[in-house]
Amino acid sequence: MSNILELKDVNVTFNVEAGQLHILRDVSLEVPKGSFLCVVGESGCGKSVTAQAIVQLLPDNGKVESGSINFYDQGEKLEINKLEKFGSRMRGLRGAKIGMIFQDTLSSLNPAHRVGRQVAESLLQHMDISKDEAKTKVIELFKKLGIPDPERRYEAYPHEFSGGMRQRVMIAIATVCEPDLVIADEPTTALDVTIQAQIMTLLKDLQKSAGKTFILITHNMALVSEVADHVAVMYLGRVVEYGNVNQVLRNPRHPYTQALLQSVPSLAADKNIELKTVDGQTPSPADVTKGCEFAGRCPFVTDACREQVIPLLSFGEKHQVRCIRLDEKGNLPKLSKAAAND
Amino acid sequence: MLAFIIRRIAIVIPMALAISAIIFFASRLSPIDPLNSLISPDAAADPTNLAILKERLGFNDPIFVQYFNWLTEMFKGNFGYSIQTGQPISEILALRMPATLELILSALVISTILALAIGLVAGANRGGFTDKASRALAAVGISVPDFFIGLALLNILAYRLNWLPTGQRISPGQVTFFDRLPHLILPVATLSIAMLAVLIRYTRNSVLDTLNRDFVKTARSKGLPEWKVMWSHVFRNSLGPVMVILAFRLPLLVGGSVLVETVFQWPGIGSTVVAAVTVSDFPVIMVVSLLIAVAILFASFLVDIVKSILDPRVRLGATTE
Amino acid sequence: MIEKPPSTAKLMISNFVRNTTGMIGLAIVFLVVTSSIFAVQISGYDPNMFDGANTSLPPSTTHLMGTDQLGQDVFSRVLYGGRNSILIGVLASFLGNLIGTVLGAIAGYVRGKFDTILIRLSELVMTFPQLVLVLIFVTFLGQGVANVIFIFAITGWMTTFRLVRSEFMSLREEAFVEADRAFGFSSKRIIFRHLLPNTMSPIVVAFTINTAIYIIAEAGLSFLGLGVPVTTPTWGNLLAAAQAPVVVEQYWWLWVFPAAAIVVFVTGVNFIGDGLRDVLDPRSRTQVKEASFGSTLKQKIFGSRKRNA
Repeated sequence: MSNILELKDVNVTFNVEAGQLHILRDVSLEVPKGSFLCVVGESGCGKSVTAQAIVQLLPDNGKVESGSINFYDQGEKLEINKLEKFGSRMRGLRGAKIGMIFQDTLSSLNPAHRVGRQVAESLLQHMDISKDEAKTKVIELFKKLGIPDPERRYEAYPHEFSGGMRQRVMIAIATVCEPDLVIADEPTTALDVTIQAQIMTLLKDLQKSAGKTFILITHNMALVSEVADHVAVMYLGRVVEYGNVNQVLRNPRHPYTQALLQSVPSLAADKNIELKTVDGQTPSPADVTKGCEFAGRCPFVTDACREQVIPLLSFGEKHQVRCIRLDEKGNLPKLSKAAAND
Repeated sequence: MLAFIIRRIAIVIPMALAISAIIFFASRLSPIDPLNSLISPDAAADPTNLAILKERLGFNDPIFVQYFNWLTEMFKGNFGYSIQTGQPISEILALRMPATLELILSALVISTILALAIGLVAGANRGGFTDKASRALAAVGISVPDFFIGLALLNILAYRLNWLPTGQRISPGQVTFFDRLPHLILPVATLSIAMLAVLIRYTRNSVLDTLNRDFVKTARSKGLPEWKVMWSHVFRNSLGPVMVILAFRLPLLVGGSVLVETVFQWPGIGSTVVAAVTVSDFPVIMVVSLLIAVAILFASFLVDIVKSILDPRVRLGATTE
Repeated sequence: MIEKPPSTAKLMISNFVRNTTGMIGLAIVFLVVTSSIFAVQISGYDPNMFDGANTSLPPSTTHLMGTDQLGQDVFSRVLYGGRNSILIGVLASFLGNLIGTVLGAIAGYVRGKFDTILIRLSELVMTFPQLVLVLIFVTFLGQGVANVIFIFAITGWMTTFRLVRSEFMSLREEAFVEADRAFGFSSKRIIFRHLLPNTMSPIVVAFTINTAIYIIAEAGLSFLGLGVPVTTPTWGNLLAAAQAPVVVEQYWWLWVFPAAAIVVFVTGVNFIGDGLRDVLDPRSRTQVKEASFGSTLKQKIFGSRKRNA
C-alpha cells in the first residue's frame, strides 16, 4: 500500500533561554494510507512535537532544522517542510487534508464562540458552501458522532459540555472536511476510562468506515493494542522501534519497549509476567550525549552503546529497532538474574 | 443574561446609595451652613423668613429623614445653590457638563480604538517596530505628568506653529461643531496619551497571553488565514482583560480631565471644581463628586455587561470578588 | 516548615546589584536626591533670592535654566523643589502603604465581616477619581505639606490593601501557617513574624510605584494651585507658573525644567521598581502575563504569578 505520509531524518530544535534544545533526532516514519499508526513514549519524548512538525504548528521557538516531511495528496507529493508556515498552500492542507485533535478539550476550544460555529468555521474555510449548508452538515456530523440533541448543542458554548462531549466536538472539527489524515494528540488523556473507550472506538470506526489514516499520539500502551496497525516507540527525540502492532507488542526488541510493555498492567497480566517500572528518570533533552539515549537506564548497556550514534536496524518485514545489542535474529543477550532484578 | 444584569444592578445600587450617604453627611460636616446651599440667596436675606424656611425645609427633622428628603431632591434634579455665585447648581451643570462629556468621551473612544488596534499589532508582531514604539510610549506615559504633555503641545502646536487654537472650547463667532473641532484636538490628544500608553500595553500583553492559548492552535489547525485567527479568536478573547483595565482607568481619565481643562481653559466640570475648591464652595464640590462617582459606577456596570457578552462564562459564575 | 536561609537578604542585594535597570534607577535617584540636598552649592544661587535686574532670563551660562519673573534662579529652585516633592512622594507612599498593609493583613487574616466592610470601603473609595477625592479633602483640611501627605495616604491605600489581603488569604491556607496555628502561636505572632515577611516583596514594589505616582500627583495638585502653599517650592509649584498663558507661550524654561526633573526622578524610581520586581519575583521576568487580570490588583504590579507552596 502507498504511503500518505513520510518523515525522513527530521530534526527539530527549540531555542530556549539556555541555548538550543535538540528535540527530534533523525525521526523517520512511514504511514501507509488507511492505516492506524500509534506513536508512543513517555512525556517529553518528542511525540507531540512530531505531530506539530507535521502540520507546521511548532511553537514560535521551534524549528525543523533538517529532514523532509512528505505528504501525498491523491498521489501528488507535497514537501510540507518546504511550504510557507502560514501560506495558502499549507493552510489548504490543515483542516482540509490533515485534521488535528488535541488533548485538553476545554482549552483547545474557544470559550467565547459557540461550538457549532467553531466546527463550521473549518467547513466555510475550505469548502464553497453557505452558512446554512455548513450548519446542516455540522449537525449531521454531531449526530453521527453521538452528540445528543445536536441542533441545540450547536448553539452551546464549550463550558456547557462534558469532557467527553467536548472531545467529540474536537473530533468533529478535525474530521468535518473529511481529511485523509487525522492526527490525534493524546485525545483521551483528560477523560474517564469509560469515556476513553468510547472515544477510541469512535476513532477506530472512523478509520475503518471512512478509510482515513490515523496517527494517534499516546503514552498509553493499553490503547495501542486496541487500535493500532503500526507502532512507533519514541524515546528522547528518537524513534527506537517501529513495526506493525504484532511485532512490537508481541515481540518487542528494544530494551526500552520491553520495559515500557512490562510497566503496563493489563498487558503484563495477559502475559503473566512480573509488572515492572522502567528504572531511572528520563534524562532531559539538554544532557543527551552522543551514544544511545537509553544507555543510562538500560540493563544491557555496554561501553559501545555510549560511544556511537546507534543505527536503526531492520528485522523481518519492516520491523526496525535502534539497538546494537541485538543479535542477528533480533534477540537481546540473556541477563544474569542479579542484573535483571536490579 | 437578564439574571446577570439584575445581579449586577443589585450590587451597583447599594454602592450608589452608600456614596450618596457619605457625600450627604460629609456636606453636613462642612463649615458652611447647609441652608445656604439649599435656598436662593434672595430668600435667605430676611431672618424671619429664614426661620420659617428652615422649618419648612425640614432642618429640624431627624437626620435620616433629612437624608431621604435630600436624596429625593437630588433625583428631581434639584441640586441646591452655589455659595460663590448663588447660581442653582443644576444650571452650572447644564452649562458645563456637555463640555466635559465631549472631552472625556472623545478621549475615551479615541484612545480605546487606537489602543486596541496598536496593541493588537504590537502583540501579533512581538518585538517588531510597533511593539518597541508602544513600549517607549508606555515608559513615557507612566513617568510624564499628562498636563505637561498638554503644555508642550500647547507651546509647540498652538503658540509656535499656530496650527491650533490655544485654549477655550470655542472662538468668538463660531457656531457649528466643525468650527469647534480644532479646539477639541489638543485637550483630547493630551487626555488620550496617558490612557493610550497603559491600554496599549495591556492589549498587547493580553494578545500575547491569548496567542499562547490552545484554542489558537486549534484555529490554526483548521487552516484559517492568520488574520482570521487573529481577528475572531485572538482579538476577541483578549478584550476581556482590557475591559477590566478600562473600567479601572475611568476614574483616572476623569481626574486627568480636571488638569487638562485647566491647561486648556476648557469650560467644563473640572475647571468648575477647581474654582470651587479654591473658594471652598462645598455644595458644588459635593454635588459634582456625587455625580462623578455615580457616573463611574454606571460606566463600570456597562463594562461588566460588555465583558459578559465577550466571554459567556462570566455570566454563569460571576459574582463580585 | 518555613525556610529562612540567613543569606536571603544578601542574595537579593547581590542580585539587585547585578540588575542593570535597577542600578541605573538607583543611580538616578541618588543623583537627584543629593543634588536637591546641595541645591545651593550646586547651582550657586539661593533659590529664594530675588534679583530685580535679571527677571525672566532664558537659559544661559550664568543661569543654566534661566530665571523667573522675580529673577530667582530656576536651576536652584528646581533642585531645591526636589526636596519637598521627593519628601511628599516618599512619605505619602510609606504612609499609604502602611495603612494598606495593616488593613490588608487584618482583613486577609481575620476575614469575615471586617473583611467585607473593608473590601466594600476600598471599592467605594476607588469609585472616585483620586484627584477628586483629594480635592474634597483639600477643601476640608486646607493646603500644606503635612495635609497633602495625609490626604494622599488616605486616598491611596487601596491598591496595597487589596494586594496584601489577597496574599494573606492564600498564605494563611498554606501548611506552615497551619503548623503555626497548631503550635498555638498567637495571631499577632503569626501575622508579624511569619506572614508579613512573606508578603514583603509586593509591598516593597508597591511602595516604589506609589512614590512615583504621588510625585506626579503632587505636581498636578500644585499645578492647580491646590497643593502645597506657593511659598514652599516643589516641582508642582514651579510648574504652576504655567497656569499663565504668557508663561506657556514665552517662558518655556519655567515649566520645561521642573517637568524634566519630575520625569527623570520618576523614571529612576520606576526603574528601581522594575529592578526590585525582577529580583524579588524572578518569575515575573519570564512571564508576559501581566494582562491576565485575575481577581486582584496584584497582577497590576506583579504580572500573574503563582506562589510555590
